[in-house]
Amino acid sequence: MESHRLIVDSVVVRFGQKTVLSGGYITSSTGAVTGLLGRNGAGKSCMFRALMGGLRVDNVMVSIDGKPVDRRIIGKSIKYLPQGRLLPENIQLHRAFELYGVNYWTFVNWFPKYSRFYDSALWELSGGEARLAELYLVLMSEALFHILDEPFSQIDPVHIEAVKQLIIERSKDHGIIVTDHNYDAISTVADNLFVIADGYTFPVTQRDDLVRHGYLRPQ
Amino acid sequence: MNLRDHIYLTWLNGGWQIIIGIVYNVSAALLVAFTHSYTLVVDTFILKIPFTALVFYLAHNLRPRDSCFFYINLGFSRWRFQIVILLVDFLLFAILMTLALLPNGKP
Repeated sequence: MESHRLIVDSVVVRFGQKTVLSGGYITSSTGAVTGLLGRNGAGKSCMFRALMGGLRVDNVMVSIDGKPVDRRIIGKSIKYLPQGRLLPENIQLHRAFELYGVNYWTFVNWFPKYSRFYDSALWELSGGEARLAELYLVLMSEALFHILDEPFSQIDPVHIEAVKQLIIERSKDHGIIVTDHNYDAISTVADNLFVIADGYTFPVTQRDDLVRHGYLRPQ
Repeated sequence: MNLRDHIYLTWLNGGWQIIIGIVYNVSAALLVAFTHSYTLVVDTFILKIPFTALVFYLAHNLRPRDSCFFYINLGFSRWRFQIVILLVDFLLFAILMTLALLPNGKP
């Protein structure tokens, strides 16, 4: 298995006079799940959107194995599941899978109810059904790294365990970054954790780190 | 990814922009065809610039915020398909105007 290392550094994001990120940083390696935590508005999604080129930022440095990444074609190396809707409303589900090079019927093996959605346009699915399909698509498509922004939101509780299992299996030969408000879900899949607070990223080694940065209340 | 996929993705990205562009171009070409006026070609072209800018501005603002990542994930820049739509729109305008003037020669 080839090992790769992604480093996102010096992320600076400002909206007018407001500075959201002053020194955003995150790293990911093949074979590991990295969890990113932070309160609402801390800048987690901004950092991901910045690194993927979907947000104009003051500064961002992205490298894989020490080489700068051409952000015009970053999708070939990194796949990103945003918080909002990823797929166009009028795309047929099987067509999206074809474009992303993912086998639809393997997806159906995991989630059998989707066999009837093969020809369905995305707008015919509920929010949760669409979210699960998008999550699978991003996670299983070809890339070195996968970034999942709140992957557990909108997902049926009965599917949470399957999603965790998918993430863990996929992380064996890919690097995965996950952010979510469900701290318990993140902590069970993540090999290492970071927290964003006051515009900077801090490593988390114990629960007290999260309390110190205002993410959790003291017990 | 083949040519069919590229055409499909362009249509997904801005199908209604293409339709609006076609409606404008065909209307302008019919007007020119019936009046045989070069001035009208220039006028419709000048009007087309702010009109297209407005359509693109609306398309950009009405589209869901994160939809650009569908294309970015596929390895395209976020503006690629918009540029293709713009080029096709103006190319179609030029072709239709030429056709509208051709049979009549100079007015």
